[in-house]
Amino acid sequence: MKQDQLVIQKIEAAFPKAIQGTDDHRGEQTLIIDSRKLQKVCQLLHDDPDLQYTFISDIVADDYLNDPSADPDAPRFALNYHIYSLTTKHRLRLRVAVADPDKGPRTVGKVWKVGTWLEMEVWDLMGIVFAGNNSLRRLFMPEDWQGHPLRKDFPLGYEEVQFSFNWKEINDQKLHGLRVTDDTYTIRSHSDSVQELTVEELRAKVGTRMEIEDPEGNMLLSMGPQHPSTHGVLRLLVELDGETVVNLAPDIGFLHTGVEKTMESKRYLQGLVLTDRMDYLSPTTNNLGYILAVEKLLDIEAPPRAQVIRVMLSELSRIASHLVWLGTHALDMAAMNVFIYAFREREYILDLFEMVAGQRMMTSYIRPGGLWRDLPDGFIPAVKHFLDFFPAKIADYDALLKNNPIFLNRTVGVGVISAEDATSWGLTGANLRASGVDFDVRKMWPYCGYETYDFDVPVRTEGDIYARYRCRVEEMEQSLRIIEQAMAKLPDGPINIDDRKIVPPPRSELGGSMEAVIHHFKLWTEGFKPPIGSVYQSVESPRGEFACYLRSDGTAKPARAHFRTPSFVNLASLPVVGKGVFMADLVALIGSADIVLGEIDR
Amino acid sequence: MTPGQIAIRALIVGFSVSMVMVTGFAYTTLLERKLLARLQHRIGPNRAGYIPLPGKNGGERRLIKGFLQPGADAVKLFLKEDQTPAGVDRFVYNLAPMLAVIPAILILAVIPWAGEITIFGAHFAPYFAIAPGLDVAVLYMLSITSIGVYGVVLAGWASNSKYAILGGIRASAQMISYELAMGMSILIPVMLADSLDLGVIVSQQSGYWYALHIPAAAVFLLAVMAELQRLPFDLVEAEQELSSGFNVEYGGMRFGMFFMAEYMKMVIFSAIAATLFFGGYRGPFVDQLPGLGFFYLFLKIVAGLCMLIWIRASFPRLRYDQLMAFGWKRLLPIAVLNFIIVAVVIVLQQEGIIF
Repeated sequence: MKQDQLVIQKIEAAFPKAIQGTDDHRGEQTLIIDSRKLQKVCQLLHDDPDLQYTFISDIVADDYLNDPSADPDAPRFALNYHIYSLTTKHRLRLRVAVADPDKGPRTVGKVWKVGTWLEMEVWDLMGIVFAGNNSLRRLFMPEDWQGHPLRKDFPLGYEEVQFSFNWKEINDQKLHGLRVTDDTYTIRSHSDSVQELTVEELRAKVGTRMEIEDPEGNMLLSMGPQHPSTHGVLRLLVELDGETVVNLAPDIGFLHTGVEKTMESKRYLQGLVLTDRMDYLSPTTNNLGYILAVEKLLDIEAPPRAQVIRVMLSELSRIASHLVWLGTHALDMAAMNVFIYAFREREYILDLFEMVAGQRMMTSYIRPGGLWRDLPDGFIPAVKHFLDFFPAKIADYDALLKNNPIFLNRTVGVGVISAEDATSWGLTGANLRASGVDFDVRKMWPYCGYETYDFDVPVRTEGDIYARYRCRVEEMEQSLRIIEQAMAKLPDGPINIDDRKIVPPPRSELGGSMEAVIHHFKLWTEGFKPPIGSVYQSVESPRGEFACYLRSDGTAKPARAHFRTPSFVNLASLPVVGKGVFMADLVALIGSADIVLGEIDR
Repeated sequence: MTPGQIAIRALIVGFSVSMVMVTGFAYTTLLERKLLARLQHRIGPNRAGYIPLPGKNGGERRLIKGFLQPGADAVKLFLKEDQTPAGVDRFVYNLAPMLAVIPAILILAVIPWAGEITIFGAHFAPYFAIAPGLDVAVLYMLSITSIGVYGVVLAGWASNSKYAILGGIRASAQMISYELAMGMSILIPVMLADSLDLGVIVSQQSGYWYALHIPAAAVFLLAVMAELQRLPFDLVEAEQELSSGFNVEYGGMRFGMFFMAEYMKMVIFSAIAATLFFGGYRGPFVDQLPGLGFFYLFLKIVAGLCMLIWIRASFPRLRYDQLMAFGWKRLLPIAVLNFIIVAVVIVLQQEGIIF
């Protein structure tokens, strides 16, 4: 609270009328800032040696159109900037009211480098223009999409299908291979009619505003969305000089499923299953982030046994996710064996998930107020077995990679990003810690009782691919420690809170209690209605900080659900780190960033 | 023998060796898939055919499940739709796979498969090969292998694809960085045996294997891996980076021919490595029973193949510039230094100063 006062004092001193109000909901401090002063306030918060808000987590846009909880005369849009000070371990939300979406606040891309990227998402989905941000373009939606889908007045349903069954139409749209002629790129369509395109037109066509440095001497390569090493449907537009990457622009959105929009028409419990599908490699941490946000909205806390089980499963899914990363990362450099070995161990963990949730990947096991069910018999011995054999497997992976001269050649000193840049680019997870910044949500703002576990956060200072590799491998070892402690302290007791308005009554009661039947019926038909307010809950997912922004307008469905997915933000720095490296290094870089496209595109 | 007889004999031997090689390469693919699978806790192809053997209690033992897999693969490749992408240089596009395969087959001519032997009444002397006693065999081999890279480069160039051209460029860069070192390392057995005839090189190894000249053998084996474009030097294909590199636009049997060339070369270079450094067809009792020579060479080839496959399974890939640096800054100096030392020692031995 002291820090809050300090922030307010500093801002008041510098810009007397910048703060229009404050709000404190569930312990989250919000400052309502004048739209015109926002950039200057941000600069102050970033630069002031006592504050040092050097990290921006996310920018969330809200649309209050026809919102029952909002003042009808208030501006329609609001922007929420979630910024962290890593030195004082303090987080702050700056809220800016925007009446006219075409006249949004000035960009914060100059303060935090990742700001530009985050604003691109806001513009694409909510249509708020940031003055001074020249790279606003479609990120998720197709280039020719009309409107901004997260706005409340965007028509739902009966949209025009974006693809056609008309053969001629399809052919006219398709790009069948690019061929460089003198200063134009020739697009050859299927019917052999040749379209001449200038570089500018081509750039517009592929949807990225990439600056091409030397259109005559360099080669423009479309890498993906079907490419073995882009880890899904990521597309990179790469400008190559020989084999050296001169320039690149990521093109995403091929897997955009509109999770955030869908959630607005789902009840809180129904929304849970969508979170599994985002980061499909570690669904448990996604579940956890979302459920913790819901619980914060409801102001409840799960019982101790559920907390311990949540920790255990989160760490198991962290190991599973890191195993996939390790395997695919090694495979990106053509080390085949590691890939298959890593997947073999991951299978075991997926079997564990199947034991508890009945599902191997899309577990949806963590529920508001606790868990779906208690642990089955045989789960604990199975985890014990895993703890016994897994350290030897890590030693195996190390034997294949850790001191392998070829692997060292490929990774040491490649793709270096400095601590300052990493923070400014909003990197989280092992990507950030490999650059020497000790930021782990589990330590910084513990949830689920992480403060009671004894574990270390591996931090390295080199910032290269090898450092990221070591960080993740050591994280797996730490996860084992956490699971071991969790098993030792696993208390007996209920796994759900005793609030029938949130947690459905057990099956046994339904036969004998009318009240239980009514509760059950109400819960499955209406759901629960959290009080008005918004929360931002972050957890440490294997890829970094996963955060969930939820705003309740007092109804059973969230008025706004937003996810800060680590892969999406981690991708933003790729064009910067990837400049000047070799094509082969670019592949290694994508692997080391550990991105999941389901999470990026949402 | 008259020249006519020699020609007919060379034709017959050449035909049979080529046929053995064509099936041999197919079974190399099976060996690779099976062995890779075993190294990676998988099963590998096990559906197409097996060798039936009588088992216990009148049952049946199935040996080498998936025995007919290579045949199935070949049938699949032959029956695939023959597609040519738009905008390719058709002549070169069709020529490239042949340019890859033909040199691979041509090298077969000089490899000694066994010592002096009589088969079906025909006497082969001084050793069993398609072209025995060719006294420029090593030069022939080096020049023919160099042609092989044209297949890759032209395939990359003709495909009208950016990934393919990158693979093609890599191929030419790769070739210049390992060929010199390879040539240098081959000179060691040549000097020791005082002959360019591969048969002489083998028979000179009756005392000890030239592999004892470890630097030369190591440089040669590394260069061979680069020549074969196998991991860790498979930059030309580099599935992860170039999504298959030079052959990305090829399909059906044209694609299959590149693999035919690759696997044939694996077998042939295993044979050459065995010939130059590991005593070729020589082994215990081979003087009494010359037929054993085939068996010993076969064993050595299989050992070489297994090593190549094992390395493929375990190692990551080098980067383009790292391969060049490795070839020029490591392999070549080692090979040259080794060459000088061995040359000096041989001269000193001949002069009787040391022995």
